[in-house]
Amino acid sequence: MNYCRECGKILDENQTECPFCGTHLGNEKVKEEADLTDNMLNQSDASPSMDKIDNTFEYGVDSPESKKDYMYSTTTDYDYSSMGGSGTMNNNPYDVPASEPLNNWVKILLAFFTATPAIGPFIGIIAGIVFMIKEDQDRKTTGQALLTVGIISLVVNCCCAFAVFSQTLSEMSTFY
Amino acid sequence: MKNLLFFLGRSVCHQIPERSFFIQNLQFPLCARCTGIYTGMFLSFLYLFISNRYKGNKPPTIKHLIIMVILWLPMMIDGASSYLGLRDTNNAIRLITGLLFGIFIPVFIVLIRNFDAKKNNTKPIIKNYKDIVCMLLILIIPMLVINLNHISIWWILSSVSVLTIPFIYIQIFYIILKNIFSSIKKGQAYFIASLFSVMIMVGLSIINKLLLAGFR
Repeated sequence: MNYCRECGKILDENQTECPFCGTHLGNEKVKEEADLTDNMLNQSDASPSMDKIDNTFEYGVDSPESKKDYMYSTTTDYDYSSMGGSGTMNNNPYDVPASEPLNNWVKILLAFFTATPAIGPFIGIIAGIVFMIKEDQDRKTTGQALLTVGIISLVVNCCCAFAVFSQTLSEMSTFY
Repeated sequence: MKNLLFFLGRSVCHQIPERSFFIQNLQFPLCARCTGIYTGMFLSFLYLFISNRYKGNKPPTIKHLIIMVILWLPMMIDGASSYLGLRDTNNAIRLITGLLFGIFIPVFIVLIRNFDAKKNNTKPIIKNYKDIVCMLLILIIPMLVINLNHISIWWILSSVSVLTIPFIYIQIFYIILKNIFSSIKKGQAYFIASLFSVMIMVGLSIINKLLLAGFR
């Protein structure tokens, strides 16, 4: 069986390019490694531990394909924040991360914009949703945090708007 | 009860009579724009609850998000242009733009409440365009009802709009507490969130009363 080394999706034997992510496949090595993993999966199929994993994580139908999807998509996560990045990297059979982690400076900049008055909450909400739609956990977590800050900032803005307005009126009345 | 509504309403709104609706010479506890925002939020929560989307955790698509953002713009433009003195606005426009602004905010509150980055989030909050149209159609109800000069309308709209404020606060504090203390129990989190919300609303109401003493 053939697999995409970038996204882990199951492909036809003769495909040279992944229809899901567009990665060009060096077929020989991928096929060899995929066959090796197939053997591993067949061995694990025989053991009761795999069924236990399926039940625990609710990965749908107990077909061999779903088990393989599970093995490719959600294997053990490693934190590599110590390497200058942040978040997690999938330990898939090819040791290729699903996507680059989000730069910390981008996160700081977005959080800063989100906390600014007036337009800030809207930037946070939009950026939050855009990141939450993405597949990798780092972006999802960042998106959730941005959306939370955006909503809090929106409520604070609504509360402060009247205070600023009131203060302006008070100053105007004193002036006149 | 009336005084309580005015006290709670003062925590988020200037309550200036010229910018508020009246029914039988009785002023609403929130200005026209705030009445629109919080009534819209209430109706949105109601719709999500009835349509069983209150447990939804799937983010809206980019197309749906664009529609929501576009619907925020009228209030932002109306508010900014009238405060800057570029144009005059009226209470009907304030109410309509406020309703359009408030109707989709609960979608994001429900999303951050239920979203789990470690799991597959498959329950949609906004499933399709039909949901958006339905939510917008609901807004016709307060627009029409506010023109009926009956005291019961005053009580319904005032209660709905004002009591949505602590509900929103409690939801936000609950989300913060759950994110900081993941092991906290639901009941405890809601109790602490309620306490914080009441404290903040009372504090803001007192501040506003002092600031706007000469304008009511």
